[in-house]
Amino acid sequence: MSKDRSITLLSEVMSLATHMAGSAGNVSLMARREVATPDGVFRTAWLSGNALRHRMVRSPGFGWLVDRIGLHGKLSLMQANFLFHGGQLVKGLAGPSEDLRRVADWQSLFPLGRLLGGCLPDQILSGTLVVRPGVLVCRENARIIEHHAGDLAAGGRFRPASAYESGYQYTRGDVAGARGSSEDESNQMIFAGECVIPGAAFIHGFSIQHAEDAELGALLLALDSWEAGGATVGGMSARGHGHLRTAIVSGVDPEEAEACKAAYVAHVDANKDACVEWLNRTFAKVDEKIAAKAEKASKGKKGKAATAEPEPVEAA
Amino acid sequence: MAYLRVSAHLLSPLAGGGAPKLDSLLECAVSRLQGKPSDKDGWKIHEGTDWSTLAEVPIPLLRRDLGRVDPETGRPQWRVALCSDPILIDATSDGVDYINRRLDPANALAIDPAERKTISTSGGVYKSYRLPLRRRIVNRVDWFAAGDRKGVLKALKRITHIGVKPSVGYGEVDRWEAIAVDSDYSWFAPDLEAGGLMLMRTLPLGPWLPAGLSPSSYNKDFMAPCPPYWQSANRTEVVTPC
Repeated sequence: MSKDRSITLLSEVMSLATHMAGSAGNVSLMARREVATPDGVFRTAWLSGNALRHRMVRSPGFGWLVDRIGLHGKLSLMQANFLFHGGQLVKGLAGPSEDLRRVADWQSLFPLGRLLGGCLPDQILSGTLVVRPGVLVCRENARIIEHHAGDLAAGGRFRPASAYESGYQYTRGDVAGARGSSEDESNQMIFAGECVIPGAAFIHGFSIQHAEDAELGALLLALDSWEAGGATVGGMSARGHGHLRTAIVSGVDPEEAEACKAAYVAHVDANKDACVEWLNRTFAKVDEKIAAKAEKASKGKKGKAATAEPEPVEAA
Repeated sequence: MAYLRVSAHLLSPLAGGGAPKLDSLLECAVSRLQGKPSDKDGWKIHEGTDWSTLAEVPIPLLRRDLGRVDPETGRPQWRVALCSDPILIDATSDGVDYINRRLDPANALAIDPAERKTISTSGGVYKSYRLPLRRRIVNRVDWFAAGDRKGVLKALKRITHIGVKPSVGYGEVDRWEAIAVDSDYSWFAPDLEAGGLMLMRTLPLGPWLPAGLSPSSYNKDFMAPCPPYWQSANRTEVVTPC
């Protein structure tokens, strides 16, 4: 049975978090968002909803699904773009009609797809998942924390956001260039940036309207896959940045979570062939449309060329 | 029925050009509450939909008929709800966020070996982008309306976000509030500075506009005066509050 869900998560920062937005000179700047408080407007570090949606849900969730239905290494480029990145409309393919059967099949076969939506080359598929961005647990964000995790807010006073901000600095050397250079011609480059320090925490979460058990299971399984894959957000994860330890604060209890995940796995296993068939059929039709469009365009060009350079007419 | 000031207290910045109209929000919420007919898999309303075959969404606001009446269907040209356009309270920090997208090569192994080719990310289907998105911190959004207070709050309870890009958390509503006010300010309100009346909502041009309407309170435009606001057939000459 479907019902509205609001899940709140608390992510503790375990290594420097570097979710960046822009630079000043050679210093990378942390992504910050304004928050209005009775004392004025402040800018605090945040994790954007778009980044969390991709890193925590879409990429690990569809990665798991592609493995499970045996399509790993068999996806076309357009299918991969659709599943892992949400896809994109192709100019000239989207017509005035909507294929409702295709949408209905997509929603019933792919619970994760119903959550996230996507964009086929010729049709937009809406999603139901709302991802709440990561809000730094600090004094400035007290009102937001109280709304989503009242128990946490009741625990006492928060420190200001500036207490959780710091910086990093690394040196990069060009090894190939260094071979021919002497020691006094150093080609090392210092690069630095801002970061959120370990020990800080972010409150974030998800809202779903009319969530079925399998859909909730898809979301939770995606979170598990993300955790298993290192649980990172932001850039420089190869250097160990952005590792989070995440716990569900409210919205679903552990027993229910396991049951929903099992329901999702059972659903995927039962519909494995149908999922593959849907993907292949849908994108075969798109390929046909693209081929027809290309043929039409080439005919148009030939027609234009004929107009531009008419055949010489022999004199009678 | 009562005269109301309906307020959305916001937790996160409002993205896009502004807040939605209250009647469109209520139509969305009431439609969700009603569910879908059991004999249909689903449907989509689009530009070509014949509106004369569709029932009106029963929102808990009063509506007033404007314009000529269609002799065949008996429907008026416009049925406009008694609710004002949105009023943004304490809007600050008008700025820009960015929505980024790029094809992540991390999933290359999932692709068929025959499809593993060099692609352009500067144009075409796989183009990366960084789109600016206007966002403002808005403490509260108000609408003046005339309708059933309990019905309004019951329907709006299901609206968790307003504005564009709710999927990534913009326009999150902390709580909804509906306070009774002493007079109807949904279409017109006293202009305390210039005298006369000021316009409070987008209305079609016509004889129903009062003679005392302050000229400094409106602009002329061409858009839909009632839902669905996106439908081009609904567009007409209107006056909008400014």
